[in-house]
Amino acid sequence: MQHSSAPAPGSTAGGPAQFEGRAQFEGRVREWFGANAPRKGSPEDFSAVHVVSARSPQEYHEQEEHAITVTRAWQRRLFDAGLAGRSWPAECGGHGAPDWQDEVVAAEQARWGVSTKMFAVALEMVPAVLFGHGTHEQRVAYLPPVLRGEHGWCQLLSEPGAGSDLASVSTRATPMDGGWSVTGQKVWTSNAGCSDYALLIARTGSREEGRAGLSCFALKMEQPGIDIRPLRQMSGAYHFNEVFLDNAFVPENGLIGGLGDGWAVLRTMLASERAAIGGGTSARSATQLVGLARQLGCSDDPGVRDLLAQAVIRERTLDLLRARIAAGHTVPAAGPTTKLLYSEHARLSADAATTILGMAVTLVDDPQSAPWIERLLFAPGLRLGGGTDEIQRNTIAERGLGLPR
Amino acid sequence: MNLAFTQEQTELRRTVRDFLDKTSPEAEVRRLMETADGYDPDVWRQLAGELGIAGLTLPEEYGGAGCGFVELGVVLEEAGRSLLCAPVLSTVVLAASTLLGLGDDAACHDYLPGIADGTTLATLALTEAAGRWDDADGITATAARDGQDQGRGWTVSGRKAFVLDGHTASLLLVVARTGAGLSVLAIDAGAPGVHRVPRATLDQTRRQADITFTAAPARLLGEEGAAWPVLERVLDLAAVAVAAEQVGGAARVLDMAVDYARTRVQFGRPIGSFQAVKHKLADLHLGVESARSAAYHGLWTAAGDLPDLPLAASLAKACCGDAYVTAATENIQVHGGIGVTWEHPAHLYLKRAHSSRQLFGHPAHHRQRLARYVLAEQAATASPA
Ligand SMILES: Cc1cc2nc3c(=O)[nH]c(=O)nc-3n(C[C@H](O)[C@H](O)[C@H](O)COP(=O)(O)OP(=O)(O)OC[C@H]3O[C@@H](n4cnc5c(N)ncnc54)[C@H](O)[C@@H]3O)c2cc1C
Repeated sequence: MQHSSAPAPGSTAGGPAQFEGRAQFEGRVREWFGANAPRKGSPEDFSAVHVVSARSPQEYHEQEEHAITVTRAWQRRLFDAGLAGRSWPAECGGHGAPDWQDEVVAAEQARWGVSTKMFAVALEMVPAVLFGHGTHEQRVAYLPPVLRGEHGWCQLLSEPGAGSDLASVSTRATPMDGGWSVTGQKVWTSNAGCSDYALLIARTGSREEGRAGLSCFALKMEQPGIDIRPLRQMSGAYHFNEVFLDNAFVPENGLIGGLGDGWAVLRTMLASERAAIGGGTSARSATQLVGLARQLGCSDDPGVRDLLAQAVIRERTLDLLRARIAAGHTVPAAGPTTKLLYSEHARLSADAATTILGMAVTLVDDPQSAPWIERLLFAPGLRLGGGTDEIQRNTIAERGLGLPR
Repeated sequence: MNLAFTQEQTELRRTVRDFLDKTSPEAEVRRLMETADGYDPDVWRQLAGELGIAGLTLPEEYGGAGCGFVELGVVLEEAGRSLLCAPVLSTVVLAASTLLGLGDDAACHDYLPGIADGTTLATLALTEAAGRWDDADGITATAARDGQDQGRGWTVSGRKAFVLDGHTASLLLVVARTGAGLSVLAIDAGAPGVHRVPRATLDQTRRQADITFTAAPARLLGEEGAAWPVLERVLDLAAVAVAAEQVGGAARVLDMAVDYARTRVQFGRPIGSFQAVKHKLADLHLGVESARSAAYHGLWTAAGDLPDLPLAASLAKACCGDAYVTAATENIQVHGGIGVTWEHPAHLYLKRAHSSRQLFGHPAHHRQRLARYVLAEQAATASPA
């Protein structure tokens, strides 16, 4: 691994002003990535560790462990270079810089195809929740290890009986000496097996209270009362899990927000999740589709060109929409809007790839088709996770456009 | 690219919207649809004079305001929202951009001040019977020197079709062929040998004419045979301009559909509470916001005179043209029976959407062009890693 002698872009020591202008910051970030981002095909290359499928939960777990190790190491390097949590306050491990600096870093990550996606809950949802609802002690305790790449987080929200309708969560947290005891079953929990903590939604009031009876907790995942059972996804990956909670313990200071404030915390969490999915460093599937058509020598076909152009239009307009949101334009229901556009883009681009690939898409062991099959089998989950497409449409209609419930 | 509007641009939007709310309400649009000229000269004088719209993007030396394309886009978005019946696209976008682009100083001095102060209506006569905007080789109109005017005079012969505001423009900028290639020539609409036939347009808020030239006296603009690259750029600017207009129209019909869905009651509840309706409107919202993003990107690219204007123009035109047609179509569906009546404004927007989708290239054409650019771009640049 080659390390750069270029000054870390985040270092302010010796700098004239505390925060330089956008162009200057961009320049320094680019330079740092140029010297430090993993090269395609190198052992640190993120695309190489992307977890595709596995024959057994154990094999998946090993791949996942490897992926998380690489992600942790990368996050640590970002941290050491002063590029992690630019906008977070210093006492939380950040730099108190303007928000756009995080966007610059994210954009450069996207450009290089390196991602901290496995840490998305920790890096996006946890700070949103803690800055919105947590105590100072909680921020100082939980956030710095996240920035240093030490702690991964997952979300324990969905249950067999509570998917889109999260107000009907029935996992229960009962007060006990020094904290709470949690019992119930969660499902579809992404990355549960490799997370250190979870954002947990549990019932602290009665069933009849509905959403008013919910509270949010920070739950340590490594403890006796937690049983994690991987579930196999259609792609062959064991990405999400069933999580059985049997008198799992949360200390008193693990309650996030007030008792019974779970719904408000959840809304913050889901909003940041939508924004993270819709606004994040999306896979450049249009660019890759164009590359695929060129490789296959079918890029002169007008039908193929039309598919390529449609993908380019979806991808660029979504990027531009994000840029408008960042520039302060009023976009009703911005989070659900970008999330839905992103899931549509993923679905339609994977579908376009099947048209371009032809028979090759029937073979998983064809190196050209493999990454597209992965996307093809990943896209259905994107339409569900983080709130289904239908729920996003409801939210856009009701909160964005003001239609009656 | 920072897509933030300045305070002046936001104020301009407010001013234009207030003005158009007063001067271009639906009743006025309907009145003008039935007139022969299809626009209100008084309103045009005010637009040109008080609001300075006609000369908005023209340099100050020609009586213009020296603003950029973003400002023009703001005006067009508002104009599209209110279906303004006025020769903005023909005079301000097509003709003025062509004159500026050709770089003929004398012609600019002669014609642009009249455009800026609203006294000259002008248009570009490019398309012929096939209705194609991109087909340089297909242009058959010819220009020839006529020996008059100490050998500096020219004549033009041929037939132009789909000429925007061709029935009212006094200055016609005609694309014609000589041995040297394509040139643009200025022709006085009242000159001998000019025969104009107004056509009955699907979109009655924007008119067209066929124009036949029979050895009509003409003035060559710029260099002989050098017009096509200039026109390509003009068409890109026009595509961006019409995209901004389309966004205004699409957003307006979405508002219309949302308002109706909130108030129309069936089965004892507002139809907007039915998910089939909600989801349709949510999808239109995605289309409108995507289109707006593409259009604004086009405006900023044009304003900054950036090299990827062709790509930005195709992105904008491909995206906005379809988004508008979809929104206008579904707006009618949400309205039910009333939506297909003449009385209801929904069809006015549907007609504008369909006719403006064809202008300066259909989305299908722009998608082909976009794919060409992106393929070339990818062939030229290696990925960073
Ligand atoms: C890849 C992936 C990762 C996930 N990761 C996590 C995780 O880490 N943590 C976690 O807690 N959860 C996770 N989830 C769960 C996810 O949030 C739920 O799957 C989702 O909210 C839908 O719940 P459900 O599966 O029970 O479907 P249901 O809610 O039963 O929905 C079934 C169908 O009915 C539709 N529907 C339901 N209600 C309505 C309505 N009101 N209007 C219109 N249509 C409706 C839905 O849109 C869907 O099409 C993940 C899911 C996936 C696919």
